[in-house]
Amino acid sequence: MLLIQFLNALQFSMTLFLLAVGLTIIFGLMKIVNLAHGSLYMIGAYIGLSIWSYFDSFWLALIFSPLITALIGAFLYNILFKHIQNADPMKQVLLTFGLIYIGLDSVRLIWGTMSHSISAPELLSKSIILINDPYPSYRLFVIFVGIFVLFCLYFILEKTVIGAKVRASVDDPEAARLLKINTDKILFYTFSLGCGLAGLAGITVAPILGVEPGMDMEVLVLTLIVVVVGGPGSLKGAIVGALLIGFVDSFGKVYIPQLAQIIIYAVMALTLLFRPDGLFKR
Amino acid sequence: MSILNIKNLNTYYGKSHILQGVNLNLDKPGCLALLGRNGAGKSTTLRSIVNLTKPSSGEIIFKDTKLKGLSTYQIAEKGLTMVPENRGMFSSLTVIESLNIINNNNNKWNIERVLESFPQLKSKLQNNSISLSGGEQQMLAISKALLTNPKLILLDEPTQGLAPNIVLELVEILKRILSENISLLIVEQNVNMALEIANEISIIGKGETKWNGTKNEFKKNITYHKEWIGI
Repeated sequence: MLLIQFLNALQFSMTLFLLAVGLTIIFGLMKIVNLAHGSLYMIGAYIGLSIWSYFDSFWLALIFSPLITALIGAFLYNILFKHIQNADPMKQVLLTFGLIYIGLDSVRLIWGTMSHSISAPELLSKSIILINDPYPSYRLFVIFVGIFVLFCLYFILEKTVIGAKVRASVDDPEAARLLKINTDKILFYTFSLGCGLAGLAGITVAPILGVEPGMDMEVLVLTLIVVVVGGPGSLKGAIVGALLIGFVDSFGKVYIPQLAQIIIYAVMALTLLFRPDGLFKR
Repeated sequence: MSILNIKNLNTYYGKSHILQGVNLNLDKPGCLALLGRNGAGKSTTLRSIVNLTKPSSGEIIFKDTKLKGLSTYQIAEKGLTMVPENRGMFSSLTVIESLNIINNNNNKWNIERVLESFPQLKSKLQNNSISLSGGEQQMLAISKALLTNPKLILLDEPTQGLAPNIVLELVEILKRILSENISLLIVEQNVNMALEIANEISIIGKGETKWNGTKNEFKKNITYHKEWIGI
């Protein structure tokens, strides 16, 4: 039972990580809190739903939904985010908040207000036995996707020159520009990648939680908590924060359901009390 | 061909009119020191030249190229870079990573040559760049600037926070850089240090150029200039 809880918490943490990593990089590079990040997660799930329904293939949905969400992110960057980078923080918040409603109404208009479900692919539709308890193999797949993305990001960011350029641009964008680094180009690609990862989170979670309008809001609040607890702009913070909040949320809901919501906010409050800049200060 | 020519540069921070007509000229390779009191607009002048702060009007010509409309990275590609006051350390990068991120194909300056010039960095290549001492950070900052293959480096208060013996070492390094036909535009509170390496002096006060001339002309009238440079 404990192992099952552990795996559920890990699976949820990985979903939070996919969302938080994009949000935190965007914050680190642009100093913008993109409140519409959750909407991209929802749109990723809906696009996946359409691809799955039309082609009857989850795998096509898994590949193309994040790509299309990344393209939507690239479009949003060019028409909006690029222009509000140096705007007043209140204007940034209001604009990205407005995008949440545009996203919500768009999915209602295109896909309707009903909830939808996506079946896990045949290969991952069965449960496997883990120490006497059956566990859905699809959830293990989601954990695998999260860990795979984590290792890919770690490799790119820590072991390649382009990754070092991204880190330099997050650390001190002005100093990076003085060294001939085109931070705007880096920003464009990382913004799109962050949006694509939100889409990936949406499509991978869809067979577990379903697809419905408003699925973005619950996850947005948790993702913001992950970013704040981990330390805005910090990649290590995104993974540690996602694990912390994912485990507290999952175990809290099982063992002390009455206090499940409060515990998450208590963890955030305690972190901010002792580490006002988050666990990993930039 | 003039190295740097600035005419009537104006820059605002919000509604504050910070630079109200800055004129600078560096005719031939060498070092121009920009002197002035705190808040006179020296750092803003440097930031405006490399477009980290966008000037509202005026003309900046670097080696016959007008810099208007170019981004900071494009200006750096043309051979004009800056060592910022905070030294521009990347907190998540090691020393070697900080050097590796700079594209320097076929440049006169490459990592091997930079490390020969700054041997104290050799033993710290795997250290995080912010763990270095102030002097080492300044050496790394100058190394990074050299790797961009510059023709002109702007230095904002390079001696700030450094021990006197390190300042002497820095003066020697800057003289060596000048001997490589790289020009310097230096903002410095330490007037003696500035006079040690500069051949041209410009004085800025209340956001505008008050005086331009050679080092010898400056020395002849130092009492007159005291009002503007606060010594």
